[in-house]
Amino acid sequence: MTADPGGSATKSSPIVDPRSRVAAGVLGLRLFLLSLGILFGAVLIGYVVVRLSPALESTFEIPPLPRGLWLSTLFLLCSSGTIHLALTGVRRERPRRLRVGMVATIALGWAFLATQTLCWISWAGPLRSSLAEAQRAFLVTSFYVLTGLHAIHVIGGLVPLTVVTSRAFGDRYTSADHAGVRYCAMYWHFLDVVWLVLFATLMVAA
Amino acid sequence: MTTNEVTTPIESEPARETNYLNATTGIMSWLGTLDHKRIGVMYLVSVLMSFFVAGLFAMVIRIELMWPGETIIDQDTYNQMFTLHGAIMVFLVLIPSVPASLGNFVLPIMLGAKDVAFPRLNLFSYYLWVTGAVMAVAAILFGGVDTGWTFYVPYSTTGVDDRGAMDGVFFLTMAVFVLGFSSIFTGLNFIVTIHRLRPPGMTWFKMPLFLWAIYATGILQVMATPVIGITVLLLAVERTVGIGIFDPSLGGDPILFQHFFWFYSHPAVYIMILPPMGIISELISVHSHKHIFGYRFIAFSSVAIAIFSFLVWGHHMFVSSQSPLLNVVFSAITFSVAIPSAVKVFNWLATLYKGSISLNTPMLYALSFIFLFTIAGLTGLPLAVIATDIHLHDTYFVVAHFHYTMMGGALTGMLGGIHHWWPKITGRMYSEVWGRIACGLVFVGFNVTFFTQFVLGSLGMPRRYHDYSGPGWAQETTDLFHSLHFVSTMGSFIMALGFFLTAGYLIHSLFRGRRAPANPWGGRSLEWQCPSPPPVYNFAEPPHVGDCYDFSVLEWDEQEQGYHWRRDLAHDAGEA
Repeated sequence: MTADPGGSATKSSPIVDPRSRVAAGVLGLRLFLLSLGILFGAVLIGYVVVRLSPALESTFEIPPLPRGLWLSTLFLLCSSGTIHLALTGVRRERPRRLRVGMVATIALGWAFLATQTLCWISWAGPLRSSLAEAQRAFLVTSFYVLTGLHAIHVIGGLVPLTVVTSRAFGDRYTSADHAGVRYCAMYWHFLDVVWLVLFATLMVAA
Repeated sequence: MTTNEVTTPIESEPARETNYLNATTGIMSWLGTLDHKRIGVMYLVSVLMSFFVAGLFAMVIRIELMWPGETIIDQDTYNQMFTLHGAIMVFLVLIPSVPASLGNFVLPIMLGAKDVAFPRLNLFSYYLWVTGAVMAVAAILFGGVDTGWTFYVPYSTTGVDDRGAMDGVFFLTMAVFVLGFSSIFTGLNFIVTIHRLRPPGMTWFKMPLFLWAIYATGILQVMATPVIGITVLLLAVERTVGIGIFDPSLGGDPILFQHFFWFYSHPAVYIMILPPMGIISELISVHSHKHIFGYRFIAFSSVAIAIFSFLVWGHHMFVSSQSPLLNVVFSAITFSVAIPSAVKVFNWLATLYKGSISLNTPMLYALSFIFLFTIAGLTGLPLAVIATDIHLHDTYFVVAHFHYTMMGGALTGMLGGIHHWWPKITGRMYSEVWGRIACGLVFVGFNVTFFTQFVLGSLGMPRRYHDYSGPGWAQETTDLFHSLHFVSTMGSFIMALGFFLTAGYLIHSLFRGRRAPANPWGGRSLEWQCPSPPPVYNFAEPPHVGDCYDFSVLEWDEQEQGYHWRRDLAHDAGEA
């Protein structure tokens, strides 16, 4: 490669100072979460609009939402706590706390997905019986669309979470340099908030 | 790819110092590059290739309409042609056009930076664009799309059973989804770059106005695009699973689709027009060698347009059965968009006043932008008035209006920008004479094509019609429309000639063009302080940041055929 008088030795970023690099990363991630938040906001607004339309006024016997959703909510709330634990761990130079926090978050993330899957299976019966009736189908399938969209984002979050965790076991993070953990925590809290809003909307609608 | 030609060294001329074009060679050094300049060039080539394809579709449409009755294609093919023309022009050409190509190239250099904040994300955005383009091609192969570029329900949800859910509509809407994320990441990257990489001394109000425009565009990209993303995703789910979200026969709400669609697609209009407006602010000032007039007003008008753009989407839906109260509110807010737009035009005119105007190609494009955009804006007002819109809705008046905005505005601005930065991008000067001739051809051809359509539209010619004769059409109406359509098509041939001429002399300049000086136009923003073409790292030393519209410190150098720092001031500048 050519000579580089700009002198930035870092991988690809043009920002030399590590601190401003993290600040740029945090700003970028915030904008991305804003974008994703608008995406979820739009789908919820769409759901509510169709749900409130006169066509759906006549009440159908919708099966109650699976109780398992409360359990998955608990898992996700706890995982928000564990990732916060990991973040404070690395900030206070306590690598053990970081590792425990990260592993617990991944475990809780998988537990959340497992519970969601069980909930989906438990609703398969109503789904099958409702597909014949268009309007009732909306009420049932929209549940799958909304929770599925969220679950895809959880799966998407588990990938970087796993990478960061394996790096945490390689002692790559210090209190001064732990951008990866911070980004993961931001994204994970975001998923938590989205889930709470989504769950509340489903509860009210049902 | 034509990008390869750029890297070919020219034997007959003395070797130049290394720049971003010749630092590394081979196709992989381009495809895997993290250099914002190369990514910008790749975008430029890709976008212009899409423009060529969608332009061909437009010519097919125009030729079909030259005579009444079926001329060269049947009605189903015609429906596919205008759909693909619209969708490719909007999603593959206009949305990424200026920000992703010229913006990518110029933005970091204008900031005196080495690259954008996230170079890998930048390359990733480009490949998302490529993926979207491949899916658009897949849409054509899987039976094509005939819904119109707006994918209105139920056009886009019916016909699933006999064609299968995985047809052209599915692929094209998924292409829009992928292209949306490409756009989001580009906008996000630019916002962060402007926030974090401004050099010391460049405050917000010392940035070139192009950057203000890109910043406002970035906000729109980040905040509006997810809505189209989720809309087309829900449309795809509706088509594959049969859940009734938008389709009325399944209990869905088709008007909801229109609300969602225009909540993105109206701001998208400003994603397309704001960056060219930023270019025009640069061109007008640099080529009239006069300080930009009303800097703050132009800067804030970009932000104001961005904010207003979120509040006017309902003006696309005056005849959609939305409530009359909503119609009145949307109509009123739509009028207010005229204010920041006019603020820009008046400030450009005030900049020109008593300037030392050089009528070279970029300036000609800038002047034609002002003229065409003014017509575009003024013909938007009758469409914002509910009473006249009901008459003009879905006629050629609307077609002419948005072509004046999108082509007379956005594309003219982009062409001006390409000519303005061509010496910087390629290190070569194009033929000024041919440039002016081509600009004239495009201007004349454009007006002949689209001004005629204002007349057609106000006479009642509906858009998206394959034919205007036969039962139900009075013979004199058919004859009148025929003559107008004929003139319009003739104009489009003149325009096409202008574009081919432009492609010709630009490509010719890559091989035979005169070497470009660092500053051929006398610009003050930082990109004119680095050599043409720039080295990989852009600046060997941090550039001199000053008032980017103060041209009094520059003087013309006859030998160099470019501008440089005034010799009597050279000691306190450092950079020349």
